[in-house]
Amino acid sequence: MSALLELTGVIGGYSPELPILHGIDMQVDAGEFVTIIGPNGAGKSTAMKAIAGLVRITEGRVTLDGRDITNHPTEEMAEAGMAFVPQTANIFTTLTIDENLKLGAHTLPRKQAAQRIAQAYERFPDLVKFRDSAARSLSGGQRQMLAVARALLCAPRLVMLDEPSAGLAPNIVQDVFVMLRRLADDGVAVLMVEQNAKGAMAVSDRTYVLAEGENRISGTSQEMLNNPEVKAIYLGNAGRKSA
Amino acid sequence: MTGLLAYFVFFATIATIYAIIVMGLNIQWGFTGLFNAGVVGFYAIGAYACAILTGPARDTLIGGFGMPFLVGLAGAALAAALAGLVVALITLRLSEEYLAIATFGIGLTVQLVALNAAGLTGGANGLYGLPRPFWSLFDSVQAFNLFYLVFVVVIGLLVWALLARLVRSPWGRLLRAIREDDVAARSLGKNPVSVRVQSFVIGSAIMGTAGALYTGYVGFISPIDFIPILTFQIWAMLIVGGSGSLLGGVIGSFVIWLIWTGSGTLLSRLAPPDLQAQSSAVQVVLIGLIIVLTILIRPRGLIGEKSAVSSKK
Amino acid sequence: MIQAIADGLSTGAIIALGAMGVTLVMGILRFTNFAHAEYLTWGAYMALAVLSVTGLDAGQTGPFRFGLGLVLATVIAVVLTVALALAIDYLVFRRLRGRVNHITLVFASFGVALIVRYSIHLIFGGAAHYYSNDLQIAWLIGDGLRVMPDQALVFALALLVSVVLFLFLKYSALGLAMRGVAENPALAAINGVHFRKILFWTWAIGGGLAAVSGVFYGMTVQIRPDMGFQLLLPIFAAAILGGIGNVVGALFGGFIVALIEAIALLWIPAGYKIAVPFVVLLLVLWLCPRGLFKGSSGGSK
Repeated sequence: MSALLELTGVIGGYSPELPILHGIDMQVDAGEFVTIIGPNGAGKSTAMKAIAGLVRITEGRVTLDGRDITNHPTEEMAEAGMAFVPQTANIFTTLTIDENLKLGAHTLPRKQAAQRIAQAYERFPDLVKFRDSAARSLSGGQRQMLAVARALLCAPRLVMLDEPSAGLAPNIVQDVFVMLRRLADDGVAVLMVEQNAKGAMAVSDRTYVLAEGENRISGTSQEMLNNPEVKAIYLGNAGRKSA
Repeated sequence: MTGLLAYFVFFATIATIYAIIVMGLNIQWGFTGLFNAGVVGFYAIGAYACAILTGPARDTLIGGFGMPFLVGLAGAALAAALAGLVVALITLRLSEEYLAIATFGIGLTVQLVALNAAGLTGGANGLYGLPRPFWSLFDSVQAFNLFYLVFVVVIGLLVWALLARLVRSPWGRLLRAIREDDVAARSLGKNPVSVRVQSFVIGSAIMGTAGALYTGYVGFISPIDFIPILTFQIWAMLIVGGSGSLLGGVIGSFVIWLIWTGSGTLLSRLAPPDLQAQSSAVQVVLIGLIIVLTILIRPRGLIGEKSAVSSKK
Repeated sequence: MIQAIADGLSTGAIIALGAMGVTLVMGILRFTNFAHAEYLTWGAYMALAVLSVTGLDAGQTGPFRFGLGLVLATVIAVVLTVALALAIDYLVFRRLRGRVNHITLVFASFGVALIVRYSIHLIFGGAAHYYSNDLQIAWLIGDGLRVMPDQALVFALALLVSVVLFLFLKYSALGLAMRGVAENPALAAINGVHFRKILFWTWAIGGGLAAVSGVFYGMTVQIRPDMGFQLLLPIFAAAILGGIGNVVGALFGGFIVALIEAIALLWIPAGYKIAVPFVVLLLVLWLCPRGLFKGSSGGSK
């Protein structure tokens, strides 16, 4: 059986003259939790946006369940079973929490939408009391909760998150990671770009390391945590000392 | 002088005056990226300022100071600069489309004032009997017209030289830097808003100067000389020639003025007499088409070459 | 004075109908369309064309000069105006959107305005037209206040439209998606909102309101090729005053602009009429550029 999401030789960027991705290969299986790490400018976020149809792919292909979704319109992503949580501006701050969720369920029939919104409030009970307030009044952690809750509404088989831990307090980061792990255990594949390499690898199944728009190394997160190169470069000073 | 040559002198004088307005618009849009939808207003302010300063005294008028033409020229530049300063100060710290709306309003309002403030502008009848500079030195109208063409071309070259210098100066580089990247310019410790205001005011002053040159040429101005469509004729001249290019602006001025007058002549010959008034609308539709098609065909060349990559907002 | 207020309210309603469309387009599609006023003119002329082609009479219903004929003509004018707005978007704005600095889009709209206004001039001529030559008998209210029944009708209609539009944006799924696109088009796309659908409905609402506003303006003044052009500044002033993207704000903006105009004309010469909304606009931009009422969205930045 082929992978749920598969990238083969993806080249692309914001303008054709200046590709940022120079040939990315990647696979995510159903229910798998995969992390992408790498230095700044490695093309991690760009790769994710390319999958979402927000960045133009000039060569190579992306498939979901074997179906070609290369340069698929972003608008059709939700219906194809994919959800994306951008790093910034990932909620509608002028809309209420309830409206954010309703918009997340935009593609669903009305009855199913109401059901899934009710489920979202069950999963994220913290959001219930803010139902009718504007999302701009939420804290950083609550915003991230709302962004993830919104992404899950369309019942995706794959959720992509661009640095979900950015700007969050360390204990909340842990909550977010645990929540994502649980999601994967429930059968939803998770693809996540992270700066917090150590924390991300600790919860995920597999890890890709990107550098300069290309694959560098990859393997199970367990292997990668112990890989000397990864330790030296991506796990900070602690790794370097012990190496 | 034959009729054809006389017509050419007239044609070239008006086209050169328009080329000077285009230079003023070039510094605002081509070099700084500021949209001015009321070019005609600044031009008219200059024309009327010159007329009021240099015109003969009349009982019914406030103006008519009988001053020398060069004073009129300077006064025209100053008056238009002042109007530009007020608009720029109110709108330039806001989003760029507010500048478009505000300048559009200035264009309309100036025409209203010209039409209604009869004590100052002569109202619908306009101001007449205005002195033409150095008129007494020439014994025929043709000789004066020829002289005036040279005079206008010399002023045009002076403005050109001034702009070319400005663009190459550190201030000109700052203009480009701001157009490319507001944030980077700010980090250099420069205030983009004040540099934009300066650029807008200089452009307005040049348009005012062109207005004074028109007054000195025809010796008679009225609100009909300053209809809103002139703004878009000037814009068409700028973008057809390529904005950001001084030479292109001059070429564009002559080309569009030729198309405008040529289509006018053609229509008056071809259209049946009872449809004359209606058929002149074709000329304006043509200007609209030139603008829209130029934007569609060369959307990026509009804002100058270098900004091609960063122009996406 | 009271007469000036009454007249101002009916002109304000016409301005408000135009401004509600402009504010939606500015808020959702994020650009200032200088051709919008020409959609009013187009709508007025299309209704006129329907009447003259079908030979229908504008008609009369009770005290209103607005019978079945003009209702039918207006409905067709709405359809034709929406078609024009969509065609212009397809031919011009769509090709530029996202590719160029957005002020270039604004510039293109000026060119479009010239083409539309002078094409109307070319087709219908510059002379004034009327829907009906019937004279209307004014209602006398209290001590010498004269109100034309048509004025009262357009006032009521503007109120109704603003309420319906407000409820639509607030509670319908489509309205919610429109507000989402207004704030963040990329995130809306991620949520599965199809931009083209939003684009269609934004022009449909904006163009439709423009046509209705044009017909009413044509009833109260003359139908001329520059009728919309005369309303451009009042409409922008009303939209900015009301806060970009805020339809109820645009309603009040329209009333405020028209009332100031009507009252100012008691003191200043009538020739300066167009300058009044412009001065109001400059004052608003200077004192509170975000409008008196909060914009419902980030609006056009």
